[in-house]
Amino acid sequence: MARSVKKGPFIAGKLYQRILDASKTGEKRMIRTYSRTSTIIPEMVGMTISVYNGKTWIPVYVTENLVGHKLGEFAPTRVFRGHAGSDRKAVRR
Amino acid sequence: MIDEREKLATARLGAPYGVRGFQAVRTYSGDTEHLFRLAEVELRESRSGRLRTAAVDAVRTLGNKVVMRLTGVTTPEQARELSGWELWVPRSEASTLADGEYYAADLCGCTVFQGVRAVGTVTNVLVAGGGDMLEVTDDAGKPFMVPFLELFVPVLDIAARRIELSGEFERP
Repeated sequence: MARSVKKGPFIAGKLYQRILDASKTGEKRMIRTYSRTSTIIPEMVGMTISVYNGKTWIPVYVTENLVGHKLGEFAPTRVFRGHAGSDRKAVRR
Repeated sequence: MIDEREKLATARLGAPYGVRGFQAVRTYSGDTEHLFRLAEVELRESRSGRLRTAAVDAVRTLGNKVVMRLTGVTTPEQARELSGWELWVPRSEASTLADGEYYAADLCGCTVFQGVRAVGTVTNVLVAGGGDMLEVTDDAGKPFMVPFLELFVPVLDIAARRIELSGEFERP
């Protein structure tokens, strides 16, 4: 069942406060969080948020098209090693 | 003889299809167009290390699948024996790169610098929801992730095996 619209998107209170502080001061430092369930809000666009994946922090650079998703979606918890010598491609955006 | 570093694994042979020696092919890059241009491939079995060369007889699409028949393979039993073998091709015949695309194999092993200081070596390229990510391992053997973005990785010199991180990147 979807979350009630009345409540608005969920975001951890402490993280929200740090986001607001960083956007007010224009500080570019990475914000660390354990809160994978927090929703990405428009105020986060342009910031880099380090999201914990259970082992380490994964830096997530927030762009407009990530808004509305959860932070945890962009910090994978399982590492697929793949084939070292294959023609698998990586795209620099 | 082609240099070993000039070869890339492009696909893996799968289960037999039909009764005429065709078998499924699964590419590592997700692209399939380059398979239709292949004339000869090197087959390698990763477990035993066996290798041999084979000519490509026919390649066909079946919906979203691609099936291939190698010369000399005419029955499903012969095709089954090759199931799990990898197709290795010269770099020029591998999946083509668009602008801003790099082979993960080229990125792995590059030394990563931030300023003048070497901070580690790329050990893996991961696919995360927001884009690709470089796994960099430092001298102490501790890995950290770098989003593969122009903002954080402005300089990339594959020939020199060198990647430079911008000042924007801060190790988590």
